[in-house]
Amino acid sequence: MSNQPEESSAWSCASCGTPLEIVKVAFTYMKGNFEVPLPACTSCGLVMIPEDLATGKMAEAERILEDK
Amino acid sequence: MNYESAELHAVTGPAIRPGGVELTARALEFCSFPDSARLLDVGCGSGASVEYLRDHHHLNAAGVDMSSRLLRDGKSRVASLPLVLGNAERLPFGDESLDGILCECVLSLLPDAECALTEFCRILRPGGRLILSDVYMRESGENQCHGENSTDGCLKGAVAYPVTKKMLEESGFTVLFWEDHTPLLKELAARLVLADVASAVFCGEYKKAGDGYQRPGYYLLVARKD
Amino acid sequence: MEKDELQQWENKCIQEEPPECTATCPIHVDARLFVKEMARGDVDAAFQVLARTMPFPGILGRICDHPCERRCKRDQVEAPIAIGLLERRCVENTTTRARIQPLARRDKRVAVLGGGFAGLCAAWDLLKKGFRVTIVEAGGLLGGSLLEYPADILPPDVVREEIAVLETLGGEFRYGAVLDEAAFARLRSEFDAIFMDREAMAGCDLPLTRDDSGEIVIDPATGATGEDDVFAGGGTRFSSAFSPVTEALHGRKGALSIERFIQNVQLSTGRENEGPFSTRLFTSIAEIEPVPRIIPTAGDAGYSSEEALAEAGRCIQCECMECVKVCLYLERFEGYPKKYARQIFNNEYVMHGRAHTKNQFVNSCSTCGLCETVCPNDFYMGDLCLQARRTMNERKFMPASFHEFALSDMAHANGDSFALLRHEPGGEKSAWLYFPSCQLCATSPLPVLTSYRYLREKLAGGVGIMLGCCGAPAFWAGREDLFKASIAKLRQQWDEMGSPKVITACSTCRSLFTERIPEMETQSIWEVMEDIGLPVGASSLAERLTGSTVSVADPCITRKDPQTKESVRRIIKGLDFVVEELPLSGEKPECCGFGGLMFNANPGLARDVIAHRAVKAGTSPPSTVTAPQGWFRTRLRESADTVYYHTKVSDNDYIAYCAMCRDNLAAAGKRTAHLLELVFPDHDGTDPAGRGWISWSERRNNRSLVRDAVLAEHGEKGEAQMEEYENIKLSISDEVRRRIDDRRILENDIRQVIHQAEETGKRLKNADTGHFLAYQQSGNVTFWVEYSPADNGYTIHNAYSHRMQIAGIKP
Repeated sequence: MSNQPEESSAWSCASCGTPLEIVKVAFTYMKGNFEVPLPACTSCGLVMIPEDLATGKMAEAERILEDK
Repeated sequence: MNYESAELHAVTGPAIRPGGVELTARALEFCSFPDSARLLDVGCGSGASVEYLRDHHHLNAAGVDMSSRLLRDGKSRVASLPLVLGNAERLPFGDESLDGILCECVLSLLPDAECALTEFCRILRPGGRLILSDVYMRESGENQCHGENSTDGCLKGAVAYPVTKKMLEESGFTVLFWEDHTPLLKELAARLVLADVASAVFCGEYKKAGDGYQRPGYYLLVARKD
Repeated sequence: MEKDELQQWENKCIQEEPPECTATCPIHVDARLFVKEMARGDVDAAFQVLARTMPFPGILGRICDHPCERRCKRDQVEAPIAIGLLERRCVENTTTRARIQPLARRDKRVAVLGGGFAGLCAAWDLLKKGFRVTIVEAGGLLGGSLLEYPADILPPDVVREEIAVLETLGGEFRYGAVLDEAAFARLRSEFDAIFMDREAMAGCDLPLTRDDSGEIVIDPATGATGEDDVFAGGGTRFSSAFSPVTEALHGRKGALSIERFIQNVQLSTGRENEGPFSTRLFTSIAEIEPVPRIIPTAGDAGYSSEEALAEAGRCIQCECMECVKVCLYLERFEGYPKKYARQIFNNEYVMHGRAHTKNQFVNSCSTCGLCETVCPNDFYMGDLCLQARRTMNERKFMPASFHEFALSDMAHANGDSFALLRHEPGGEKSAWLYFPSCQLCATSPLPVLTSYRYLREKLAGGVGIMLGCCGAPAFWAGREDLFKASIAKLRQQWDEMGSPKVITACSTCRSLFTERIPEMETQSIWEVMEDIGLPVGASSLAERLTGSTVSVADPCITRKDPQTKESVRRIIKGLDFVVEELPLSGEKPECCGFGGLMFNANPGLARDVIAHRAVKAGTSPPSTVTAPQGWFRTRLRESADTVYYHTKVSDNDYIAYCAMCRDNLAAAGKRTAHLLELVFPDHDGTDPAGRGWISWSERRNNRSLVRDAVLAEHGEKGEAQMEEYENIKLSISDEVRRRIDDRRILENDIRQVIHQAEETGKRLKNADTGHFLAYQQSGNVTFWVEYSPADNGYTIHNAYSHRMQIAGIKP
């Protein structure tokens, strides 16, 4: 799927040094529950959300839920 | 929108519609069918609702769908599910033979909704219940006929509620209960956007419909055959 | 909104009212649509438009006396559209026929006495309604006056063919009838109702109520005579001249009356719009270029195909749309006020009480009121939208993201970093209270301080100062709760200060005070300046601007405040500037994108709105500005090839006296100075019109600056505690600074993320660039920052945010 940007492979967890792996990350917004596969550090719980996801599809999903 | 696509299933699960079985449960609360009541799920897909009705509510439920592939998926999941191939406009059931019909997220996709409703009326016993959930247009706009709004695909048949109500009344039904559940539709749309599934299709339609005056919503309705 | 409220709103907007031609036409043919189809060259479609309304279109289309032309708006430009000639062209050349679908047959019989045109039209309508109709004609032919037309205008076989339709519809005919009293009585008993064509009845002696001159008395509204089953009409040739369309009206009127009579329904109700009436539609002809009417070269034979196209092309397709012509917002949502009001009502009311109001739509109006000014009926979208916003808030359906940022900015202005209330230093009472406004302090802190000092110098009785927000963002957001609280607090504080005269530096503040705290006396700082005189050194600024000719950018709120506008202009001229007015000034100033919180709810629209005022068509925006979508869009809706509207952007430097107008125009690339900065100039030679945009973070810093400076004059120190993270030094390039500001991310938001990331070590690292990436949820928003350590601080490479909340990693 296209949620995996090229540069995500360059990011790693600075807290424990482990590379990130793609896992299902849960989100909530406006009483809805969502899931997006994203790179994350499973030991620290840190998630990586690239800019284009945040300003692109997430923003679009937010608008749909807000009824904009 | 290809309802058989694997990508879509990955987002929605086997119940391909907003809210999954949540709305089904809500409607059943309102209907209080006795155990073993005979129900038909029109547009059952791979039988998620049929399974749910049989297992959780002890109802004698069967399903009919036009997609032999989805029916096969259902049967491979649970071999004993009573699912048959068929068409909403000519249902393989006798007159007044059923206690209830479920038609979830299907009516607006049918080419001849009136014909389907007449069929439903035929196979339901008097006093039987029709459970409908579907997309609708929240604003009553200039288009007031089924199948005539400006979008394509799964929002094509969505019309304003008064149109549906009239059609039901003309087909021999009385509406007992109608509820808006648009947040579920929005949630589904948002999930599809995030998963990048059909983003040019469903959400394009959703947004195109939203850009004009006709904004899609989702409803649950229970009607009684007079 | 209640149903009767909706009706009041809908009534104000006249866009759906019929054009002059249709209203004047006795039978209300949609002449506008007809001409439109003729202009497209689609004669058959044009014919169908006629056939929808006209009885016997083949006849009427050829001989109609077209009273519509007398009221055509083009008559006020040069000459009316030749609708009559176009109709002839159409019916003579169409290949289609009228599609007549009569209703189910009713078992009621109507007699039409006389086969004149009125009688024939009555028969036409009655047969379509399903009645059984018999036409009783004294002579041997039907048509009456129709038969007197020259054959090349109205060929007899056309008349025959058209009338033959009556037979197809089941009409019966009796020729050679004798119409004496006895026959009349027999007909009345044989038929359920009678329509009499006066043309055919001339000279007969029937026992009907007559007036003094012996004419049968006919009710003009219903066609009723003294006998309740007898109706009459036609005979226009006896009063003035034979008017085919009036005959048609009489026939139609009689048929409708007969239907009502037979159904035992009130004859006269709801018939006010039968026959010609005056329309409420307003159509501007201000920008229509005269084009002479096409005269057919073939004379009486009518138009050629090209001539018809050209003449139909002259039609301006009357409609109002005055507000849409001047408002990008109204144009963008592709409707007009009446439609919008209905939508809002339908969403609030019809959908079982759930307010699924079209959210972005109601939140995008700037409430500037330009629509009200140009509307013939003063339709004010701002009111409609503000009401809708209030309803959404009351019913808890307003998504937070629309106004959150603006409301948090207001909260900041009313919080510890800015809010302040003091008498003048060393004073114990205030005859005056300076309220410079939160936005002016945010963008021009030094002139605010200098002006305050000046006021203290020149005014007696003590000049106190109040720093805070007037509450406008809450008002615009439809948050009545917040707004009322804010105003109440302000009022109480003003009271505590001894109810001084309030000097406002912002017109919006002033208008809200005037409306909500009417007992408060307010004066704009400009009026006060005129009284006390300008400071020395003010006029030396003129040479710092591009030239001595300037244009004034009035804020939209001053459209109802001519006094302030004049005061401002006197001051500007007093500074030796020459003022050249912008076209949409005076009563029609435009929004800058800030009002109504448009910038927060619909940033794309706000950018386009200001670009529209700041950038000339065809030029490029400055490179420091991110070109918004539709930057070059300067034309609004087009109708019949007419470009509706285009702001004329002047080359002069602008002078604004509203902080947000100045900032927004400047951010869009237009050189704009704030008047206060010209009156209280910076002495280091800066060009006040050259100052570009300012970030939201800087605004907050400036507000604190003003507060701290005022406190310093009182010998007090600012008590506002600095959070630990506020000490973090940030290094941000101009490009990144602009981007994060557009995203409404504050520098302190960034500092908080970094602070937490550095303390906990929870951050990501990029192996290629060495950059760190960290995030933190603060309120409803999760902020992301990409950064690297730099000398005693951090360099910020990027920042973004989202509102979806991270709930965790699924196992």
